[in-house]
Amino acid sequence: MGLPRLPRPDEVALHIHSREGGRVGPISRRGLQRQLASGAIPEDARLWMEGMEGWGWLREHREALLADLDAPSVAPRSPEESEDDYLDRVFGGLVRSSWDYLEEHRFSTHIDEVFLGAVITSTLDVGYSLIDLKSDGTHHYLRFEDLQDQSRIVVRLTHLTSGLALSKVLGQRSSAVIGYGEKLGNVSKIMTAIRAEMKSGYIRDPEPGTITVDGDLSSGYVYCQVDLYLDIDAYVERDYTVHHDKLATHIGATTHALRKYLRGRFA
Amino acid sequence: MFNLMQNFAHKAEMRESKDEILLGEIVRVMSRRGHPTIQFRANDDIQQVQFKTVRDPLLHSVFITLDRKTGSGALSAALLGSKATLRITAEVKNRMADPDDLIAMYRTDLANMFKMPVLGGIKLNHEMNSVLATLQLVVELDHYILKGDPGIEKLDALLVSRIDALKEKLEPYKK
Repeated sequence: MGLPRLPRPDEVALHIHSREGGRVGPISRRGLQRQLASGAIPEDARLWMEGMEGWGWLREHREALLADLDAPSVAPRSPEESEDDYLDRVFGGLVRSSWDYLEEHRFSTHIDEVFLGAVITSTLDVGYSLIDLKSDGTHHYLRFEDLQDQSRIVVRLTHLTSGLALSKVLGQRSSAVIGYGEKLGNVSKIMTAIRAEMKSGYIRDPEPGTITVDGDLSSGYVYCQVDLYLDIDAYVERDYTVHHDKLATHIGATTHALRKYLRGRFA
Repeated sequence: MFNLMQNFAHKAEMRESKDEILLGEIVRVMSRRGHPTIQFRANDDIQQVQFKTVRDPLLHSVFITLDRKTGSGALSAALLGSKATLRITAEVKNRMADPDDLIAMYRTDLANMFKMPVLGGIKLNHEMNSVLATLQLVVELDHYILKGDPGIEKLDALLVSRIDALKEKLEPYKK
């Protein structure tokens, strides 16, 4: 099976799978070259890129994929080439390999914002509207409302592993507080929630599964919220593919549990 | 009385949230088109989102900025409607690596420094490796939100047509 096309040297298009290393990618041809040289990708790995019907053997495409990679930056100066052209070519090679690094670094920095957009899309898909958004690039706050029944979902997300080195070691992690709120329309119930909120204030570091309560007298809303740690890699692939179904299921299950808790406690 | 106050507060909050509702729909429309978000800058009045135009052979990213102008209060909403400026910037990124190209790009950067965006028109700008095309329009938020699928389809058509117009301007600059 041939390649549908030869990707550009820095284009992240190759998916690699091996028994030892599991699934890697997508990576660029330059990335493949580095990982083959370091032994991170074995010679008997399988390869897939968009346009291929199924996984092929890497060894069958290795020569084509790596053939021209060294040429622009390290090929020796030929007698016909001027020194000016040769130095420009060396400089060009340095810049191109820097782009590779930068793309990888940028992805590790903005993956939380890819995830945030996915949270918005998945929550809108189940009938909510975004009614508040605040973000400083690391800390994100979203509030949604179902405009029919006026129930609300609140999501506070903080990216914990921003930066290439940290994310390589730990994976892409974030802390998330997911809340579910309903308008109770009863002063005594809201006051109960506000008292519970004061108690929640004594919990310095809520552990996963701890449900805290928040009440807002002016709007009449009572919220129940839970602290979670999420592995963003489980929802967002390196090629920006988002697993919306998985995300929608996880948000749906969390809000379902919070709704049960809120109604059980304040009904 | 308590319920009346709550309903009043809720209505005011919904009126103030119209720009966020539209932004949420923009994020969903772009996501369905295969363009995930990669940057958010959002505060009370202005929201900017950058989208990665994955698998687009021409564009690197699109920035959409929504700036609420009228309709946060009941009086201004009744008199002027809920208007916002929608600024769309499309970015082509050229991975410049040749010193001669870099010199040419620097001259264009300098020439573009004093150009101002024109409402409805498209402004082109070079910034280092990027060539940017921007247009700005005034939108009535109520035309696109809280209208179900017809509103979303209208928003989708608006974004696609405007991004296509920007792409057309940028095509000659892709290297």
